[in-house]
Amino acid sequence: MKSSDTIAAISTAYGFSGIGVVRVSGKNVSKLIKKFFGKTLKPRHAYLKKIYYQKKILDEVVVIYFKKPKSYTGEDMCEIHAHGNPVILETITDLITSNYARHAKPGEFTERAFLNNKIDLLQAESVSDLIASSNISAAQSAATSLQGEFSKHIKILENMLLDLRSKIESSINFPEDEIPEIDKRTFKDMITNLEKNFKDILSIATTGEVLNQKIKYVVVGRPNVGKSSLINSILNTESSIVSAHAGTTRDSIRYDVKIDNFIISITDTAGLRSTRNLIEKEGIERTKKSLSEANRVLYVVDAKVGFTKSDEKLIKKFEIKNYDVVFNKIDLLKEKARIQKTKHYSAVFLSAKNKIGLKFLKKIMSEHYKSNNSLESTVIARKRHIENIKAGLEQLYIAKKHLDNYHLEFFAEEIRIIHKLVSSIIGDDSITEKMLDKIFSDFCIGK
Amino acid sequence: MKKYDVVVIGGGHAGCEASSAAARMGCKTVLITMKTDSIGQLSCNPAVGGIGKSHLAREIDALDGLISVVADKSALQRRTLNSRKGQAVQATRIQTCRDHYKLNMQKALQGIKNLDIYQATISSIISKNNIATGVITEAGDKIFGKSIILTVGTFLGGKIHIGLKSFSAGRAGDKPSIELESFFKDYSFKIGRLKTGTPPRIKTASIDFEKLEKQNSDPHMPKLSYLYDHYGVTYNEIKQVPCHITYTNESTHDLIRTKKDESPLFNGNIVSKGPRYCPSIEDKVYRFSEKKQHQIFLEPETINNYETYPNGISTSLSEKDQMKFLKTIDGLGSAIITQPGYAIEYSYFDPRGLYSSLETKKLENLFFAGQINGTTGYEEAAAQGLLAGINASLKIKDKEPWIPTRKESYIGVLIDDLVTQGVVEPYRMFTSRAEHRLRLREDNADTRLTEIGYKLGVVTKDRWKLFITKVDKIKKETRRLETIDIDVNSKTSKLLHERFGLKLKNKSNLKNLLKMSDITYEDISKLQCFGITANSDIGHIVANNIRYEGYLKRQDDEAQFFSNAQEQRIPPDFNYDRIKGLTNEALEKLKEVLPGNLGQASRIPGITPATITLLKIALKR
Repeated sequence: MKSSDTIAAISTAYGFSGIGVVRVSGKNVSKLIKKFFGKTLKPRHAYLKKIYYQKKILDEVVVIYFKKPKSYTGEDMCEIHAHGNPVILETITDLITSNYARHAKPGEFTERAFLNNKIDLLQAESVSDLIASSNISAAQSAATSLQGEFSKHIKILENMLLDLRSKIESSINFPEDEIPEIDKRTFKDMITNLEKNFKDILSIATTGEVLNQKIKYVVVGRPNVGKSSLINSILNTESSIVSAHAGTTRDSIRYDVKIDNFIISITDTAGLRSTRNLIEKEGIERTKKSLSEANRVLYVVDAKVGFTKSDEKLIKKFEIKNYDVVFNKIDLLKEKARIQKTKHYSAVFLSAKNKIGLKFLKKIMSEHYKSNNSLESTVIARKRHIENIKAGLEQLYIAKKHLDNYHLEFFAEEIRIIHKLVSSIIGDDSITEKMLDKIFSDFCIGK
Repeated sequence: MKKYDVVVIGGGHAGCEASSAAARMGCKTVLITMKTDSIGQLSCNPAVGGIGKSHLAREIDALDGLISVVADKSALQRRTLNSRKGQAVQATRIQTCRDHYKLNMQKALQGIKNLDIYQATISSIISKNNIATGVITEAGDKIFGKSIILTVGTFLGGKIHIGLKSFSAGRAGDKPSIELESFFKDYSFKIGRLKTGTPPRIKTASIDFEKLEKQNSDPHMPKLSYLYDHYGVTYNEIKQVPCHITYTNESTHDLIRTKKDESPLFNGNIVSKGPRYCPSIEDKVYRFSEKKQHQIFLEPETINNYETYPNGISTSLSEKDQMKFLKTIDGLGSAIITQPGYAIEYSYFDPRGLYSSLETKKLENLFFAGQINGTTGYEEAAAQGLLAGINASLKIKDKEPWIPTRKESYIGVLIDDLVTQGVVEPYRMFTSRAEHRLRLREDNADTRLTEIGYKLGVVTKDRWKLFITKVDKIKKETRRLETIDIDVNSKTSKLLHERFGLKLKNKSNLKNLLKMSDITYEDISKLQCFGITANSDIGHIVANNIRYEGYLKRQDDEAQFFSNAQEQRIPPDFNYDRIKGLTNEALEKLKEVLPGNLGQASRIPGITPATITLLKIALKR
């Protein structure tokens, strides 16, 4: 059984590295070890084991089992040391969380360590600080995960659930009011519809472009400032282009590049300008969309012209946040390549054409990546969201069975749990109030 | 000078349960009311129970309270609601005779040891150093009590509206408690305003029932008290009187539409919020203009059936207009109004000013229960009264208060909702409010609560013995079913397949049969192997326990980890300011509600899981 008190997470820094560690803590650890590695392990001994994914070897790993209370958290724990490849580590975590555990919240291992007296009082302060700060970043990451299509679908899903629940609950709570009785057929149709929506969301959330677990850079600027040549020069110096593919738009092209140990995606966009031309307008809409999904923006200007008032206006107009400014074409000015930090942004002076100063740009990009763990927590936030959706879908199958037997109260209970799962993605748990609001606005109650 | 352990002010449903519970717990108790004649009066419609409400009534009964017994003895019509929607959402409702109800309630109170009844109007509370010690009557007499329970319903700042007229009142025909309200204002209790309404009462003889749909008692005559169904105690059933159903129509609605300006609900005279689940007929007509008719239940007021309560058309139009619209309704063509309908605005205390024990945070030893906490309904009031009575007594005995949990009872849901969420409209119980709905059934309130009540001292020995006998019977019957096996190839097995499409794979006993299928206890009782059983009510409970077992176990497993943390107590004097990293909003809310445990804190709107984690860590330090 999947237990809510067993947690798992990748505990090493995000990115490529020699070794990556997945930690699991809680009741199900010994069950998990038995299932994954075929036998019980002696505590505190390192074992070399293979992990399989879809019947193929995924990785050869070192597993260590810690028996409670002699572990970091004070609970049964297991550490899986795998190769430091994000894909491998994520897959291992997914395997674990699909059956034996849930994804840990930020700081949760430490929290448990504290609550089980494994950390002393002095360390407690720092735990508090950690959770307080992750409180903020977790909220931000959840918000990032909720951008775009994903959130639209979640809201639709919630409304469908509200509609369904208001029909079930009004029939249960107000049987003598003249509420049109819902027949099994209608409920069935609603369930089928819900199922489809759940599945759609899962495919959007898992394969969608919203979150590809890479930091997303978007390159923008007015026309002819050298955006494309900038991107080309980044791509040319990097031998490790992962892929280049046209995105959902015709004009925005996305490239995946590995810089240091991180995969970064760079999106080229159409030039920014105010226009009445319909076709160009469309390009600009696409640029806006790319901007809204960006983790960081590279705003390119012509060094000859500099960063002017009209650039400021464009930044305001397109609501560009988190940007660095690239002063391109310094070769024409005989300026020195350098980084110059200002109050709002870092300025990088370079020449894309002559490949001068690109290392400064790379430095800024990777600095930003390393200092920023928001991406990692966004990934975790999204995983938790997906977890809820999956659980909801599972619950929906049970609900269906109850509906077939017309056990209204059991049916109602399953739908309530589904509603709660979906609502908590948006961070709103007041499902009873919302449902009552819906009933009282839809039906005239009042015997 | 009079001295008591517990002083209860108010003789409504909360007051009756509070005073009788305190007396049962051995406290010297006095119930003070403005009019002893009005004790136990049903001021709204004459029915007890209904969905969500009968669940509360059963729980009160399981704790040896009065409401269910009194309702059963005064029943004119009995029905089971939702009988096909599942055991957990099924409910019992009883139409009562108002006169019988009142007299039976008064008789019940008079028969309780340790309980005095006293007629007086209370004008103020005596308090010293923020501790309440007694009350002062209008005449200036002082009555002292170690605990004071206030249950004054709509009488605080009550204001009645009929058409364009309005005047101060507690309920039609009764005075409001104005002086008392100003005491609480001086003490800066947080006071809000709510509104509710009643329909005009009609002289029964003036109604033409000929063409109307008639609604009799259900043939199985469902009961509210365990005494009369599961425990087998007998009583004298009074004469049954049916209800009838009629409907408003387009001409009723047209008439009401033309009077919009004269309705205090719409001309701005009434600003307080009324219950959305019990709107006035004006509200119904304006807000749901597409509906061509609205249902009216014609409920007999008493056994003599002199007056009828037309449920569904509460109104605050002028008496003349009430008369006019009544005449458009089928069966009411020559209706005579005996009392006009009215809307009443009243004051309530923000229940977030209470601990879960119902003791006020401002004045120690003072408890609030019932409608003054922003609830509506007899059962909701009675449940709070009972709890306040129990906790006031425990306080005197220097014991920890009893805080029922959401998992164990609807009373727990009610209290928890009130103290953590506050109210925006009169609070009524719905089964949807209970996340443990499948566990909180009408048939098991006693197994959930009677033992707790017995240990607290609020359940009498007589009741306890009856309960034990029932538990014993359940155990025996369950064991008996386990011993009756059905072989795969037996005749019975074939019969099961033919009749229910059930195919046995292995030898199975009757208990398992109930677990795995839709087969009811009644079904298996018809099987040849079944033998003889004690009592079909008991069998029914056995079957329910078996059927819900798996479901509840799953819920338990899921909730276990969280519940440990949920029940962690937060002391009332806990210093929230020293928690680092809380947002100002969270801090403010926590300080306002002063949650009793982590679970409650987590249910305060706007409190995030991270806040709970911080709180958890701070508590451990």
